[in-house]
Amino acid sequence: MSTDQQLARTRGRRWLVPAVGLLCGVGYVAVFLARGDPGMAAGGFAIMAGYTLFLVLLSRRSEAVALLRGEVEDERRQIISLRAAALTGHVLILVVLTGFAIELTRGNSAHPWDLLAAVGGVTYLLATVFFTRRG
Amino acid sequence: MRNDVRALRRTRALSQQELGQALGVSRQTVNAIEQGRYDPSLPLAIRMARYFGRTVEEIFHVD
Repeated sequence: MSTDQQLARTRGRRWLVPAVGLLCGVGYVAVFLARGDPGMAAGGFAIMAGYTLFLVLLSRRSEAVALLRGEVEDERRQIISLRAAALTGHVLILVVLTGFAIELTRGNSAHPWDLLAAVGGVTYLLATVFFTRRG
Repeated sequence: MRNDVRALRRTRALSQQELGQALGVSRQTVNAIEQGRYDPSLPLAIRMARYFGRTVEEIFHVD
């Protein structure tokens, strides 16, 4: 892919995350209005709109905000994004395993921690096999 | 890894932004490479070498 094509793709992707953010805000409005809670509807939309505005206004000044906005156009930013995703995954797995162990020691059912741990474990296993074969 | 990217860029009177655009990477990535905080992949190192008319070994030096 040429540099021009990459830049065009990146420009298009720059608006994807803000658009999804606003869409989530609209989703909050729909869900909370359906539940008869206009305060939470307005609050949810304000939070998502504020976050979207934060991304749009500060992505030129901060590389971290640019990454949060989805501007992952070069190899270094892709590596940063992968590392952040991997760390997030590790923290989530640690939380799930801790929840699983706590529920078991309390003598309770480990549900839904057991299911989450199983999904995490199987995904990690399959991903390892897939990426090993892919080289 | 040490490198001569900053010196080569300055000889061509390029900003980090301009070099980044020429190579298809961000200004911050050029800065990270110049400061030795990030070692580029082989394809990017070759792209840089071709851009400056050098070999990869002439630009990047293993400590």
